[in-house]
Amino acid sequence: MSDLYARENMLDHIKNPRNRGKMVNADIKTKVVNRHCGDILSLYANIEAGKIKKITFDGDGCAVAMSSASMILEDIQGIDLKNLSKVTKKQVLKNFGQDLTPSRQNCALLVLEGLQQLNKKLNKNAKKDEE
Amino acid sequence: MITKSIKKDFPILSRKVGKKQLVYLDNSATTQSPKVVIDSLTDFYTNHRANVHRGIHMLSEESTVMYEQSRKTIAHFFGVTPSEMVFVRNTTEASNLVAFTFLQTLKKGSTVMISEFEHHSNLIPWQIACKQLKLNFKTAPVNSEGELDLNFIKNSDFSFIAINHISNFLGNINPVHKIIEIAKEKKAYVYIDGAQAVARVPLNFKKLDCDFYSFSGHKIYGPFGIGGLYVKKQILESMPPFMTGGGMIVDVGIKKSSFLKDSEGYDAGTPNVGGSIALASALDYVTQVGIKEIAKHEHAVLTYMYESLLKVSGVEIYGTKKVSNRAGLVSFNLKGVHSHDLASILDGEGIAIRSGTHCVIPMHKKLNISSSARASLALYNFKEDVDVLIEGVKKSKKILGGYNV
Ligand SMILES: Cc1ncc(COP(=O)(O)O)c(C=O)c1O
Repeated sequence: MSDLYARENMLDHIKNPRNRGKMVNADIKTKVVNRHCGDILSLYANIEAGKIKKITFDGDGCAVAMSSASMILEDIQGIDLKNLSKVTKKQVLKNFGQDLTPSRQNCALLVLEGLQQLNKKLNKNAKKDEE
Repeated sequence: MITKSIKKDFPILSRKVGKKQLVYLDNSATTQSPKVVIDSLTDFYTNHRANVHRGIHMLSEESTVMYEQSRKTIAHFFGVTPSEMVFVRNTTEASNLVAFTFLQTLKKGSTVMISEFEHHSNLIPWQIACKQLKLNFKTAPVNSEGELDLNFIKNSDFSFIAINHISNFLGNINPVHKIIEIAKEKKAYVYIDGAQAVARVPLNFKKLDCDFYSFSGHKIYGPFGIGGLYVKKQILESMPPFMTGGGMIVDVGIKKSSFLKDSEGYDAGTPNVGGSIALASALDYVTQVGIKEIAKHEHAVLTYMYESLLKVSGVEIYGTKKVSNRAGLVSFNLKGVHSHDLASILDGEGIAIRSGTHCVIPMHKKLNISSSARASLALYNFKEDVDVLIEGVKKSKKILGGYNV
């Protein structure tokens, strides 16, 4: 496991996290907890014209969870809302770029759980608007 | 004196973790077993396995004798009689057993007290039982170092108190003698969770004069799945049954049955015969090494570990600052490094520690931390193990220090 912490990519995202921080004027936000270890991740997003205008994260968790969030969020700034559901487990793990043990995979995938929850909330809101 | 050659008694300690030599510092979660304990399990399953109390064939006779002897050995190790030594799977089962049997005998409206920094297993059973039985549930406060407010306990009205002997999160040795004294004056009952204490301090439950004392075999060099609950004889005689079925009865009728009123009354179903035999052999091993020797040796290593960690800048240690009041473990955080990352980096160095909340979420909340790292000792740890730990902690700081969690 030690060489996990030798990964430049991960260390870079830990030391210089992208899009980290609470967004006060978020249109939508969500919070997920890794039930295996208690790590917490919050996601905040501004939505405009069917796109994610900006998305940020904050939380209290291990380096794997936080850097994985930083990596994924960097990639999805500005995407169409309909593409949000297309982020997959495989993609997140591949993006992380390191063989992870099953328990650490849970850490890296916390951000995905957050995105899925965010997506559910967005769909619910959209339905409400239609009604 | 305990010397390094004792490591040879524990086969697992010679294994590697990746390319590194294992340094096992997760003993509060579970201790490793010496070869004699593993051998006793193998011997039972290889040569004597049979169900107990049910047969007259030779194997059944043998296993029954071995089972009963194991209860004797375990009871005597703690200065009590076999009829007062109930077998349980672990400490968790012990507190559940007491919560769902003995608490029924308290008057409605009586108060059950616990401390603020109990392991979840010494919290949730009381929480739930109190609700079901309409008892009051109260917690005794501790300060930020986890030191109990004895005056609060003295001035409170309660009928039952459950408290840990040594905290598995803070490492504090709690003043159980004083608590028992206070409780006696109030004619209140005392349950002690000794999960972290039995392998670390010499104990005589009779002399201690508590009403209940529980422990897990796997935390005192024994196997998983077996532990003990001491219950004072007079209490056991009037306590309702827990699990019911075969093995715990006196007589059975279709409408009504009667039950054994001693430790065997809590042996419903086929017991963990091999486990109890192996636990007895673990206690024999501890006796052979000497529990006083173990306590002395461990405390010397603990003091060294506490002081060494304290010297690493950025390390914050939890629990009492009086090292003489500590035993077995140190929980801490390294500034800017999440405990899981610390444990992960240490794992890469072959060092096994625990990270997370150690089943003590309320006390983590009280200290305003989300998790902590915990290094915990056993009789086979030496200062050299601590040195490896400290190097690992420093390395973690180099890799991740400054990362803002
Ligand atoms: C103080 C304390 N109480 C209870 C327990 C529960 O022990 P077990 O999981 O063996 O039931 C533990 C184990 O971590 C403990 O440290």
